[in-house]
Amino acid sequence: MSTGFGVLEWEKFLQDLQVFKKLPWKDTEWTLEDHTDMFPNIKLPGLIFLKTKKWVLPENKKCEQNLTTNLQESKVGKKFDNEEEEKEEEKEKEKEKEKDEDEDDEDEEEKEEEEEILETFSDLDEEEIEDQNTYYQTPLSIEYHILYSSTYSCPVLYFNAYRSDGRTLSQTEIWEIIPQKYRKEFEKETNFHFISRKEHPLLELPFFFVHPCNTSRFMQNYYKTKNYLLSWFSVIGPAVGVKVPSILFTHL
Amino acid sequence: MERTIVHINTENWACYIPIIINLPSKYTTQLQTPFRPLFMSVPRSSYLYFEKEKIFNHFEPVLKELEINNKNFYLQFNSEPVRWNAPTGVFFDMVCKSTNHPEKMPMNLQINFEKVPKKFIEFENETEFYNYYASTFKESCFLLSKSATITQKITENIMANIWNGLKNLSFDEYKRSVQPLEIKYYEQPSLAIRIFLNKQCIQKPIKPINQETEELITLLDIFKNLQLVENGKTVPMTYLIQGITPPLNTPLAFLSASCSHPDGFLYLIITTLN
Repeated sequence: MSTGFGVLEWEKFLQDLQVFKKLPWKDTEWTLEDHTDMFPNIKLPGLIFLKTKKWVLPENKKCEQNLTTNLQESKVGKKFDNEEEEKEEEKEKEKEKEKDEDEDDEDEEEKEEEEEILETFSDLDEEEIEDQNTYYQTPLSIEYHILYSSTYSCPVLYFNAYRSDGRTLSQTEIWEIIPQKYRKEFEKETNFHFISRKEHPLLELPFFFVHPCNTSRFMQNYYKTKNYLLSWFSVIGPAVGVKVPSILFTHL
Repeated sequence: MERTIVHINTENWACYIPIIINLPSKYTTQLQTPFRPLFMSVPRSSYLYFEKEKIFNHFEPVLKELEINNKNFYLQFNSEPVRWNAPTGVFFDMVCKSTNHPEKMPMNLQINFEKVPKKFIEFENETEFYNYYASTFKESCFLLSKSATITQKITENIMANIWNGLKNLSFDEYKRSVQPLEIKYYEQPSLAIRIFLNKQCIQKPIKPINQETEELITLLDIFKNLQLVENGKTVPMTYLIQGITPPLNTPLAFLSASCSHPDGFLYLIITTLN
């Protein structure tokens, strides 16, 4: 394997992953799914991933202000803030799901979430509701997967964003979830230095990923970290719209 | 040696695969005018994506007659969808040449205008495809040099030149564009190789030199690594690199230098006959 600073060897990745999973995710707005046992028969490094999922509203929409204030007051807003309890429930649910291999539960959950979000729209005028129901203003569900790249010997972040009707975002639309300040930075160069589309190595579905070629370079600054994965996630996350909760760092 | 490698590369880049693109019967039964299938010769080293416009133009009159408004289409070989992101030769070797299918030439494809399967990467425009190709090329360069600085060497200009070399199907242009990156095939830390074992893609870093014996890794060593060798002989299987079956004792470093695709990877397609 490659030697050098800033890389993460496979065994160390597995160790860091265990610690990463045990962090207080339930205290945050994130849910965490562990798919490490997806391919028990194939013994290649990288065949595991963690999945997080959340509902977000696109940043750059005009009516966003109305929606966010309404949501904060409603049940759904609380869901974003108190994901501890949610995470415990979801973790248990996920375990059951993995046993049953039943995807219907997930769909139902998503429908429930959607219904709750739609409930808030009743506070708005009819015209505004019609506006909100237009395609680009529906909430997005974003999944982040953490995989390991044996080419670059470092973790790699795959992600996908879905509209409420299940449709995935295209390469031009995916910039909606990238924070404004990073967009200008990366619009200078062609996209292949930052985000590209690729087949998910395990699921074989089209996913976006953050190119890992610079990971070892910036991770050299974090050689004193107790958990490579968390440091890496806290650097790369904000660039793709992830606000890594600070409570996770206090538990290391 | 250098001349041999250049010669083999030039030959690979000059290979063409004949294909026919047909309409499935569900469409032809509805047509009033007789329909002529599309005959094409596509380069083995390139991508079918570049022919997309030509294919669409040929079928446009049919679409108008059938009143289909969908501009997106996909191609199928039997029931296997053609992936736009795989080099044509790789796909052909994997589904056509490896099998016991009696009629291997021309490759008979069917076009479909209905909903594209979910497992399909759809490139909306050429820029997206360019980004995909560029990130694959960068990955192969990184594997071949194992230095983070190589990615900084691949500037936009260099990448654009490489892309033009690919589009013009000129190995000379491609080679000149890659020259500044100074990739040395026999001294590389690892090989850029993608192995398709029964259509499943395996990509792992493999060193070109066996560290214990200090000999070059051969195809037989790879097969041993994949547990395809029993009692000193390979299990019943076919393997193809650029459509040919090199001898088992061929060093992989040599194959990597001479038979890699324009995206920098050497594709080894293995089909076990069980």
